[in-house]
Amino acid sequence: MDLLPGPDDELAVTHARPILDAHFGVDAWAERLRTGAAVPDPVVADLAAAVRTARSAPQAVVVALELGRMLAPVDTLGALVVPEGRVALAVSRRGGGILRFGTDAPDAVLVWRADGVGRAPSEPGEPVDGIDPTTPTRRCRSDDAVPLGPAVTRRARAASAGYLAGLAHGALDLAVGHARTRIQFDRPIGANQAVKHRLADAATRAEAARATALYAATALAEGHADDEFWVAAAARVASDAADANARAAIQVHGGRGYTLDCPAHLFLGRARIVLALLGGVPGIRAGLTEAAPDPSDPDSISARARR
Amino acid sequence: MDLAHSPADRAFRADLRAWLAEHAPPPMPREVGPDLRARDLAWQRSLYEAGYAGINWPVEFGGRGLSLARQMIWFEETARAGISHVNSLFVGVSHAGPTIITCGTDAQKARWLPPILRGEAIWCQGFSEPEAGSDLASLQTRAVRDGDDLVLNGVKIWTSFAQVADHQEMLVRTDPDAPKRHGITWLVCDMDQPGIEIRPIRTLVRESHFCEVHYHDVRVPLENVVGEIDDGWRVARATLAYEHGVANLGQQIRLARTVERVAEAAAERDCDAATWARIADARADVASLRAMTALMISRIARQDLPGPEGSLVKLRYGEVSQLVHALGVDVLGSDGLEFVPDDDALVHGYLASLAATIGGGTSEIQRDIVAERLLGLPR
Repeated sequence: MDLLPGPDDELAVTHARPILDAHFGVDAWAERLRTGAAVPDPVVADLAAAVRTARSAPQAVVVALELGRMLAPVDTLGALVVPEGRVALAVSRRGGGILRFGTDAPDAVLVWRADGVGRAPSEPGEPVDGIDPTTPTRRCRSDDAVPLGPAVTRRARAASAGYLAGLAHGALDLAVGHARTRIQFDRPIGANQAVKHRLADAATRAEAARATALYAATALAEGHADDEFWVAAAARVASDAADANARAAIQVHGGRGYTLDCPAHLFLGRARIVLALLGGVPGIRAGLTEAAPDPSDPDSISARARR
Repeated sequence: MDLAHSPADRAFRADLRAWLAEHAPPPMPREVGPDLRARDLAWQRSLYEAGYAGINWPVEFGGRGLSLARQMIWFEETARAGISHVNSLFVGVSHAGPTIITCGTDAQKARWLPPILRGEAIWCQGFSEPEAGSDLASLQTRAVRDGDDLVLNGVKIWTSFAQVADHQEMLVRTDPDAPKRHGITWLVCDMDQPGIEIRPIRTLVRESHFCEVHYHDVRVPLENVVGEIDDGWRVARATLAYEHGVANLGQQIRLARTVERVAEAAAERDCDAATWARIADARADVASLRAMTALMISRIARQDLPGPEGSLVKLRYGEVSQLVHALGVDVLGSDGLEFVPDDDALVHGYLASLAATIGGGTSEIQRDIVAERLLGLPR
């Protein structure tokens, strides 16, 4: 048993890291929030190309973890699902049409539904002020999507869980950094147990999310019969961690955390978008209505591989 | 990355499962006494003879020298066979033994380790005191040198199975003038010494394996000191690392089964959608414990001693265990108002789960460990 990613699992991360370090992460975003600058298109294209080097499920989930931690645009997740071009992500709207996230002129639109991920044609749509101010968001009319099948859906959902786990870690790191350096009552606020324990709980959630996402990725790669259960479990644990840790980061930053200048809210907005892609909490729970096959039962483990 | 299903792992699991089907021990008696001692030692002896004792202990001390992943399979299979690993053997096998492997002299290893695996000795733990709980380093049980002995006076508490133990791993104060972490010594006290008085304590689950142990001029030879005199805090850190980390691998497997018992009870009672939502969440939470355990095993395989990450698993286990069991008694409703003296009963588990955020270091202390040692926040 080994859940720590090895060099092969890190393949896509190795390609993506220089781009992520140079253009993303909380400092780069804080600068953009101050100046109103957008991420240059060639940077996004380079990042998508690096992300596309991921082949196996562990490679996809491990790079998704880094994308979330570094606050890469949510639509880079699409590069793990569709092999070419700029991809936007979308969910159905109540009353018809879709809400689309990501690049304004996509080559493909991935619509995430309860029964799986599908591919829809691009249309201009109507811009709206989305929950995350750094994710272009549009309403579109057509929701005709061609289903991409269960294997693509499982991979897309596992990568989303990885991205959410990465967000949980990124929000934790931001909050810890502030708690170590912000002085009140003549000492760092992180010396107080009320703050310390909030962050310890955030660390526990982040670890649970990361571990479950890595487990799901490995179950997918090995073709376990219970891999869908593990993807749903990872999505449930990671979406909870991403949302709760983003809120913890905002709280620890005090009044500054409530402003658009502080990057803490970027974790929150992205977490809400990716949770919606996964069908929201009720949609994720629908994948947890049956007991997982006993993981200690070798006969149940590779059923999919044999089928 | 892999999930331990190599052909060799599968063969180990299949052999163990077949063996357990033939050799499961009788249920544990609820009274802590000679019957329980005989049952536990006989179980350990049969494990040893079959090659299923000390899976990840070194071969030279009677272990199998296998990976922690194999030890995990052992926990899974014994849980599957309905055998609880929380018995009087636990301290010796899971943390006193590993501490001696890490910090003991060759003579100490040869003397104490083989009898643990062979089922010839039961160990208990004397760390906490009535006035030294979370602040363990403030412990006051005194050990004063007299010739080749240390002479002990004081009180220890929460000592499980002291009534049937042969040896006790202990922390004592050898230098009352040094800063509190510096004057502590880790030693082994034989429980048949004159001057030891054992007082059992009744808990919420009507058991009495916890004891308060009083020491009146109890003599311990200097050769029973592990590590150096006054250097016991360092040795204790090893014990606590094993106690927080590896010792509880088996718990999450039990908890996964409990969630499904709750689901069965909910199906029998036509529970509402809100209850089923809680059951779905509980399945995900318990799955996360399994994944965290797997990640912890993967880390330990790359280092000598379990790190502070063990506290993350312990913290989450305590919370999830209480959520699952609270859900269980909510589902039972008025059926959950009669105490059932059976480890597998939900009402028993509900009361027992309250210890999960206290025993082995409270959740508050685990949060301090995570914040200070993993996140680098100031003390």
